[in-house]
Amino acid sequence: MSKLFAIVQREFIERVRTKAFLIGTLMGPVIFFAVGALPALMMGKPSSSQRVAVVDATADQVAPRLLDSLSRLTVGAGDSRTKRYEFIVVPAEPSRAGAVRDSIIPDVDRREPSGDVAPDALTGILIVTDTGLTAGRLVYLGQNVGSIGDIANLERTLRVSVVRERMRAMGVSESVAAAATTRVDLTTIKVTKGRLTGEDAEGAFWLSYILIIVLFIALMPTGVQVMSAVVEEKSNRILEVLVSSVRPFDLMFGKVLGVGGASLLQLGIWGASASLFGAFAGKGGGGSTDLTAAMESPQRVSVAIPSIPAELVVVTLIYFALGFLFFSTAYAAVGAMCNTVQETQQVQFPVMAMLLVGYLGAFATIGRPESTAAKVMTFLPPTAPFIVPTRWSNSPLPLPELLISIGICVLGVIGMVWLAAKIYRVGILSHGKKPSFKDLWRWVRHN
Amino acid sequence: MNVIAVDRISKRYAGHVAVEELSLAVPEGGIFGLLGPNGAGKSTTIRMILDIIIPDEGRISLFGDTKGARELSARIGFLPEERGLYPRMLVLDSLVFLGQMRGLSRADARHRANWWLEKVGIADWAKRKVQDLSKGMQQKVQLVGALLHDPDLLVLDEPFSGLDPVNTQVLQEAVLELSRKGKTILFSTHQMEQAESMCDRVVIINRGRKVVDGTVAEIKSDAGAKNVAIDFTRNRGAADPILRDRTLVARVDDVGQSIEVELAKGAQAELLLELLVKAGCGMTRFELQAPSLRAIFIDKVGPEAATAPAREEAAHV
Repeated sequence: MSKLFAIVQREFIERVRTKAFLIGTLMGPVIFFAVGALPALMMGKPSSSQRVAVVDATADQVAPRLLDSLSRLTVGAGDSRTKRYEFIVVPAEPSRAGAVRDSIIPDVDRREPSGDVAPDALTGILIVTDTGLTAGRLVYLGQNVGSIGDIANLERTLRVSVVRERMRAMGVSESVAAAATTRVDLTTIKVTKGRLTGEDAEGAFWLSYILIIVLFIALMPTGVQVMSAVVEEKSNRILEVLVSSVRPFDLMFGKVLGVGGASLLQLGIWGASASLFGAFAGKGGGGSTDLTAAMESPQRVSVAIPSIPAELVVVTLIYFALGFLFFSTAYAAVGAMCNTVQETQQVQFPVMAMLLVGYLGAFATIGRPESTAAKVMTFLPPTAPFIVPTRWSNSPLPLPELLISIGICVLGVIGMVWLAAKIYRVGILSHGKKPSFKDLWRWVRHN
Repeated sequence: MNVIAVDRISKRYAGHVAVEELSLAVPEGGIFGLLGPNGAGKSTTIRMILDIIIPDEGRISLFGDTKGARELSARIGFLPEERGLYPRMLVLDSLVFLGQMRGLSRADARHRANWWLEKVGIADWAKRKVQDLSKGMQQKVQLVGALLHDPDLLVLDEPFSGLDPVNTQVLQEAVLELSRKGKTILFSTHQMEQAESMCDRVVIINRGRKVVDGTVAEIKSDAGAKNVAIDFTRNRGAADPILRDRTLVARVDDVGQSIEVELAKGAQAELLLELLVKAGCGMTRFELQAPSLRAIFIDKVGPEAATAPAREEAAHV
């Protein structure tokens, strides 16, 4: 037992000490930041106060009313809070709108001789015409048209204002118009088997999605690392000394646990940093709460990590452990069969195929947890680690179904560990040509 | 008591027999040589003794116990022919790990490793990676790894192959020192001179079977003093016709200016000396002696087996 522990300890420490581990661990948060927080920051963080010239070419000079709700938006928080937009309305004859526009364009993004933006420079020009209002097509020219957040915000608010203006033109009273254009949001709540689950459907989808990816990231590279560690040890020729003092089974299992421990540590660091960035991104990237409230915020849903029910965590951990043991020992056997990392490319195919079936199968059944495919895969040891947590994130499995699935997976793991130990035992001391199926069969029957 | 008792073990692989009905007994204390040409089954035998592979037939007991070398690994040190360490591990950590594998506690292994590194003169390298060491230093580290836990039985598979002269010396001294302390040493080799100078007892195996077994003295006296060692100084060529006379000389083990001659049955050494002197050969030595282990070895396994390069066993384990 103390020898097994020494093997686990060696494997873990030697792995955690490497530069590759350090870089991998640091890269995780960087990638999470890139995919999670960065778009939110880009979209959510508004440019500071903007000066916009509005060329009002309508017959009734309706522009000031359109801009009413826009000019109430603010940016920043506390003392630094300022108006988001400063509008300069430029009335124009409908026929001369183009000429007026052209005369103002030089003021947009105008620079001082030093290269700094002039304090009275314009951010953009909005052109409001009667035909535009009728057709629902206004024109905005500006230095910030590349900022998705700025433009979406402007468009969204204008849309409501234009509708209200049209209603006013048809003689609808202002209070009726305001009531009629109140925003409508759809709140989705999932019902499973005639019971409310209290989860929202979109959250469940994202949760499944994230779970599958995390499981794959946790299982696949760890298995490959176990495999290359075995190949490396084989080529170091240190095995003969070790096998004369510890059982090959302990050697294999110690390696699987040591590499697994290092992977878990890395995943833990990634997970912690992901939830940190997730929380950060969820706050709208540091923008004011007023602003966040004023925006419909689809991007907020996509980066926020949904709350995870406790049973799901337990189920996921159980299946992670089962999947980890199943695949890592399979990979250890593959490593024992090969002499070089290149050789493993072909030999690992069956193991990789099993992993991919589970991974892709889980995606395929993400919205259909009760489909036949999902049910079948629940009871297969290679696929269950992906399918069951995904199904569970939709709705909990009935207890008998869960227990049978766990039972089958435990048997599958025992079978795989047994098979891998047999192959490992003989394989680690074999050099020379790659074993054929006949050789493998002999190894497995051997003793 | 025999430290190692091997009772008719056999090991067959698809297509060939590696070891067949081999029995041997290694008594406590002393140095025991397992000799044989390449591919004779020496490594396979050692692997079976050490529980790395399991014999198809037969029984092995160590220290009078049949529970297997792995269970008794705290009392056994092993230096395999194919040597290796983890290249990216620190020297000290590697030794501590090897010590732990032999049942030492971490602290004890560390203490002993430091003592040994000092003794073999590479203490300065303790905190360096194994891959930064020269080949000779790595060999020392491996030897220390086998000795760290002060084993009662040390098994060395082809220990001198690939060693530089300095390390050969270090290893020889370590082996003799252990032997003086009453430890038992089993080593395999195909270098007969080494075996002859170090071993108390030897077993010679060929094609998986035992051909000679006994103390070195017994084996030599059984072979009879029918050999003559001759060192020529001049006119070596004139000796050739005389040496080809099959009524006088049965066999010549020719290594140039020094030769070993096996006399034909009934032939007299004096006659040979007289003929050589008459032919005008200059000699500094003409010594009637027991045959060398090398000569006995070649006699038993045949000259072609003694040089057979076949090294099949590794591919079939």
